[in-house]
Amino acid sequence: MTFIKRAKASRSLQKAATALIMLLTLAMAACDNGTDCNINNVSYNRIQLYSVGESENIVDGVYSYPDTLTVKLMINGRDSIVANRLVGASELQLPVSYTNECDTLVFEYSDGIDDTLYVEHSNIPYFVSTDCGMAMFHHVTGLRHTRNLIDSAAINEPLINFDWHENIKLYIVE
Amino acid sequence: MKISNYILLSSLLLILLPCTINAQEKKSEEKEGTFAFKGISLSTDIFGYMSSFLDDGMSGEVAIEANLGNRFFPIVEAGYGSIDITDENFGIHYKSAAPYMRAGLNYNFSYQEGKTLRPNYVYGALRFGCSKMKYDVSSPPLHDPIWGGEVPYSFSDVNGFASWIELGVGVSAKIWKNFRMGWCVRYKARVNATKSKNSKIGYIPGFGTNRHTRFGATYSLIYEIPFKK
Repeated sequence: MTFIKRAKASRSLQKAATALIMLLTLAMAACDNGTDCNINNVSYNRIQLYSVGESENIVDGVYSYPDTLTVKLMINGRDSIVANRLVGASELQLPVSYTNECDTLVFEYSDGIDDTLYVEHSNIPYFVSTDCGMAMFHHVTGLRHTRNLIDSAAINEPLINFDWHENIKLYIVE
Repeated sequence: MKISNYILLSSLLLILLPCTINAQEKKSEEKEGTFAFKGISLSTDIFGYMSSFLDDGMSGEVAIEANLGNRFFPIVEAGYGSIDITDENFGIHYKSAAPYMRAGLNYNFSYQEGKTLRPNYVYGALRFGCSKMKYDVSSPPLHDPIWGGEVPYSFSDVNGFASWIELGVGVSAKIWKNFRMGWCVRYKARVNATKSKNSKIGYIPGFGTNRHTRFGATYSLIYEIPFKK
């Protein structure tokens, strides 16, 4: 009798395991379509602004530049505005050239002062997948800048790709 | 670790749980042959040849499987997968051909103690697979939408390696004498896939298109080698 009971219990457990595996398989299929494409396949250089010293414009650890800030990109000898008269800017996401090895960014402040930041980089054409296509990633190799309101600039994460991380830390004197 | 990985591990435990319980409860039966060798079978997967119609490469595969006590079926699968596609949306050309291998276990859910192997039975499948490959990938030049200019893209003989696990449910049915046929639906979860400086792997032989997870299937023709006790 004990043997029969054990055999029945074992079979019930096996059937339950089968049903559970089938259910879990279906559930996993429903939860994950497996693709991880970026929306527009463009990678951006993420620049985070910081103040030099203490500032009343730091909220929850995030510094916001209090005045207006205009950012221009030098494109083939001409300037092009990519951010116009931002107020309270804390982070900038800027495109990067596919073919140049140095991009020139001009920061115009409210009182007519400006700074220029030179971002030196290499370019990495990248096959993401047949589902998602191609992308251009970059590797920041160096930074140079003028010193009107920019105190210093540092490379935080040199690889510019789809990952959400700070690439450059920019320290501003208020 | 992703939630799906936890689910996979849980499912693995569920498969092994009945084995553990029985192992504890019936040590005496081991003497009678819970893991007794009952025979070997050879099989080939037919579904892999047809999957090229699904834009998912083509593969040929053979397997050798041992029958231990009509309950546990350790199995090794070896195959060769290839793909040569040009994507319609992006114009990307991807080409690769490489061998792959899987090893694992089938567990007979229809097992009944003291009885011979049923003509038809349902089983759970667990596999670990891996493949080392080389691939060529090229695309139309990348156009810079802001600065202008183009960057060519073409790389050949890029090295890659990928591994994955599979969890599945299948059916095996006797069709004639020592021949069986069977299908198995499998959920595949990628464990790792290397990246080169300029590309990810696009196609993993034995796994399919390189994604986190995939579904796969096999439809096998099986020959049981006659075995005398």
